[in-house]
Amino acid sequence: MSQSLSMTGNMSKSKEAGLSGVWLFIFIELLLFAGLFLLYGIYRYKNAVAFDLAATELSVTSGVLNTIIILSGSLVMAFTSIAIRKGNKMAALFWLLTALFIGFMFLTNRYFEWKGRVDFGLFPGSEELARLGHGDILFFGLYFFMTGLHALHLLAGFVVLIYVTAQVNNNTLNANNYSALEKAGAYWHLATLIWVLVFPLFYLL
Amino acid sequence: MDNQNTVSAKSYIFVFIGLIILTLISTGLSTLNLGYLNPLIAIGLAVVSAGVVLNKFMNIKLDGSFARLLIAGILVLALLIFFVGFVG
Repeated sequence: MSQSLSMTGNMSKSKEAGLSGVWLFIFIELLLFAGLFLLYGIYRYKNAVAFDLAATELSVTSGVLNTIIILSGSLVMAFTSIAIRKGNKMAALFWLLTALFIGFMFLTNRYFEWKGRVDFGLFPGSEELARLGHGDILFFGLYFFMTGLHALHLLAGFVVLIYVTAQVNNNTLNANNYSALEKAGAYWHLATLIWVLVFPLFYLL
Repeated sequence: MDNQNTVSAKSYIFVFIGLIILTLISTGLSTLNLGYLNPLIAIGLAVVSAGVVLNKFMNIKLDGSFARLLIAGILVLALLIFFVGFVG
């Protein structure tokens, strides 16, 4: 017991013990992106002018739109959490499906944004990028990798949400047993958290 | 007991609107030419938004040791990006 207390610090209460594993996972995920953020900082330092110019190739409107979409996804996830605590199954299902729809909208927007860049020949390995030079290759390489990795996280969130929706539907997940939903919610919000940090690096700077 | 930690739907909506306003402010300010302030504002506001998401949506209690570690990590990272990428 004393060992588990020292391992989990303040989160040692039994109610939160199940969550701490998720927090550890989230922390590792943030470390992964932290490495990418640092890489971005270093590349930007070495190719300041190219990064400034390359960033103008991205649509700020599309970025802002995606930010608003993903923020509303988090809002809806919070509503799901409230609904399940109140034991309102239908509302919980409604908000879960809405969250899935919002995630789908984000990915659709991401697809069209990528498609726009690819149509202009701005994708890793293209001749157009090779012509533009080293800085642009790095910028768009990072852009596609980081937004792609974020999109992969959303896809994983999709799978988790579908699983949770099924559990709510067959009453395994209810007002007395909702820790799985809390974990899924924490992961869903992680996607929002990462996007909020990625967005200004590529669209605003 | 759980009800103590339950946040109302209304307050989530306020948080959501607040985050959108933060995004719009940071987008608006990025169109102005403020020199070295531009990256500082953009990254600063992003860190504030991230803090709000952590605290309000992910419901991390800010007095927890784990949460402190997370937040300290994000702050250090933001400072590193700023100094390496924009000041150096």
